[in-house]
Amino acid sequence: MDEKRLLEVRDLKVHFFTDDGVVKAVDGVSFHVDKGETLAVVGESGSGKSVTSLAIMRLIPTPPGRIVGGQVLFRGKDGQVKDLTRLSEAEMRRIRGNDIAMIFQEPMTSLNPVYTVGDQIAEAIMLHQGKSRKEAMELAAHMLDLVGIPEPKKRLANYPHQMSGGMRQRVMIAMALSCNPSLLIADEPTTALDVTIQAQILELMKRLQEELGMAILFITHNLGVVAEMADRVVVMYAGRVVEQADVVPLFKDPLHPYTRGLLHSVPRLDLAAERRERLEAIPGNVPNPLYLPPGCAFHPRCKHYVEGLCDREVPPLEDTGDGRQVRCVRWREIREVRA
Amino acid sequence: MNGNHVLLEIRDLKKHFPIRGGILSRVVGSVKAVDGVSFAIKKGEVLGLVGESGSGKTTVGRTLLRLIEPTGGRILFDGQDITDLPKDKLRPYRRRMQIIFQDPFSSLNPRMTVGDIIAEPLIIHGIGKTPQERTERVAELLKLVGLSPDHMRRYPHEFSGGQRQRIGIARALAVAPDFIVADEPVSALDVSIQAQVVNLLQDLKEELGLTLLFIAHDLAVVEYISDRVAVMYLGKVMEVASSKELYRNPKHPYTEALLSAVPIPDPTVKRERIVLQGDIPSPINPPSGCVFRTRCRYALPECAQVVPELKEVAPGHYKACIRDDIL
Ligand SMILES: Nc1ncnc2c1ncn2[C@@H]1O[C@H](COP(=O)(O)OP(=O)(O)OP(=O)(O)O)[C@@H](O)[C@H]1O
Ligand SMILES: Nc1ncnc2c1ncn2[C@@H]1O[C@H](COP(=O)(O)OP(=O)(O)O)[C@@H](O)[C@H]1O
Ligand code: SF4
Ligand code: SF4
Ligand SMILES: [Mg+2]
Ligand SMILES: [Mg+2]
Repeated sequence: MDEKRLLEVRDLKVHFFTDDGVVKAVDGVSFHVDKGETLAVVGESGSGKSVTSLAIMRLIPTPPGRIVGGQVLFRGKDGQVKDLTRLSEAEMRRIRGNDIAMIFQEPMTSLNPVYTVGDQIAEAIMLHQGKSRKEAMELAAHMLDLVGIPEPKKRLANYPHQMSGGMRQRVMIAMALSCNPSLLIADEPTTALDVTIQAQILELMKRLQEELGMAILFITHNLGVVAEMADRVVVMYAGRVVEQADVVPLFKDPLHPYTRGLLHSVPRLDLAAERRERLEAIPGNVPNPLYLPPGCAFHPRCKHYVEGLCDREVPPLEDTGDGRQVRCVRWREIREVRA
Repeated sequence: MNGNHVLLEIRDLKKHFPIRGGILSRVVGSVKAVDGVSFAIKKGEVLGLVGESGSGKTTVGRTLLRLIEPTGGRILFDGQDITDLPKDKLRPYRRRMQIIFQDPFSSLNPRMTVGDIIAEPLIIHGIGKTPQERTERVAELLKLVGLSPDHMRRYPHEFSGGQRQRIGIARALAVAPDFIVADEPVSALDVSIQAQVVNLLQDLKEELGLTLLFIAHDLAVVEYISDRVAVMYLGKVMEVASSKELYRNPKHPYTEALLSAVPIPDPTVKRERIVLQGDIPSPINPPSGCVFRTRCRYALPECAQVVPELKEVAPGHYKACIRDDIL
């Protein structure tokens, strides 16, 4: 694995074996995250974003789910590269505390309501860093201060329900970063928050990344948040990566028809009033994961669909030659026509 | 649009929810969910209502439909004061005013077929005398919202979120209302599906001459669909202006901050952002004077003394702020 590479997911497959059939939630996903960068994973509900991140952390509920294929290569703080899918549970627990941390959409579900936030942060610190309770509490207060919680020493004694949603998300971030991870996985961390609070949390994450240098795997469905946070972007559709590019070229010149559709379907505040044309909606519905369309899973909704070409085989994720990747058999023609 | 005919107007509307406490369940305080809101919507117009969660948008929508009773103020529909109308007298107005809910998953009865769900308001309001007439109307409505008449016999769980929202829209349109409150109709939908529903609402508005109160927290969507926009904070309206004016030229400090908080889906756009400090205060104990003052970067000592009136600062542009020297 390249020296600057922190995480490399290769052909990951996670399937859920349900009574109704096999849900191929993640079906051959590959991407990487370099040290200190922010990779955004964007896609609609059910596209496999959360399952991908849970698989990296080895937190897939089994049964019904199972990692059925692929590798998750990760470079530990000691510089060694390991395949996380092959580690024992004990080894994995060390990775979770020290190397990779995760924050979720609804902090209430991951904070324990019966313990004070101080106890919870300190607990994590004692478990992973072998510090005394007193040292752990001091570090906990320092972390709360770092994430911008006023009067941190007093706040240690609060229970989660005594805090607002934005404050709880700050606590989650404090807890996640207390062990100085090299990778932070953030699964829709601002989706449940109001825009003014979202702005606070995004600013906070940017500042902490500058100060602490961790890489962020940022999962979201909000294209505005992607544009603001990401260095690079992976677009997922129906359990697969359909496009991968640096953030600027992706927004400027999206190659996959789905990415294009997404970008055109959101109204833009900054263009407000100047340009009031109709929104270009993507027709049809998000596919049922039990009955994915054959070939390119996007074909029933794609205006460039060609019968016999797009519905036979799953298109490969192709390198475009300029550091980008796209999973569409017609991307060259589509790009030429537009140019 | 039909000239300047006002279809709906609220004047100083208030809704305070009592908080009970102690063993006797005595009223110990109140949530001032809506605290003196006034606006008028012209026939054929779309008024957008934006604000963060808990600012009182849903309560305004439900109170003006009299789904919940106001604590104070007046509601006028088509020139008639309906605030105190008894149930039987309210019925014809009920037909003319409908609502579309945010959550397409919980707002449809899972045990009823789609046909029965859409026909229910027809029965309640005695429209369509025979089952056959009603079935025809349901088929027509399904087509109107982009579904197929065959869907009539299916159940809500067989539909995706966007399709369920279409069913909810068909139900609201069944009794041919002139006014609809759409309470966050696209918030629960996927990005690619939101645009479908927004476009549908816009088409229906044109086709049927509907008047809409469009409630949402997504400012870009509201800007897109609305003629005018009202911005709420802690139970009060902070600013009202035409959509174009409000977004180009916000006059209230809260609107300014709210607009600058919205991430723009373009990585080459760099803006200076105003990050509001702290959280929204509790509506049980709102700040004295201007309710926004605890987070306002322009606040002066006087802001704690007087409750700013919503006043016209430019033609058709209103703001509730005592400072005229800013923005
Ligand atoms: N425990 C489970 N049992 C069965 N299927 C599951 C389970 N967890 C997830 N899935 C399925 O896996 C697919 C991917 O789900 P995932 O949660 O990763 O989506 P997502 O992209 O995170 O969506 P969202 O934007 O809604 O969070 C979906 O079809 C989902 O129904
Ligand atoms: N039935 C109720 N009883 C008590 N408080 C309520 C009730 N409904 C709403 N509220 C409160 O009123 C305020 C405004 O709520 P709401 O109108 O739902 O806001 P929005 O729709 O803008 O998110 C909130 O503080 C909310 O908790
Ligand atoms: S492979 Fe065909 S159907 Fe799929 S995105 Fe490309 S053009 Fe569209
Ligand atoms: S009245 Fe004062 S506190 Fe309120 S918005 Fe205006 S300047 Fe800010
Ligand atoms: Mg998810
Ligand atoms: Mg609401």
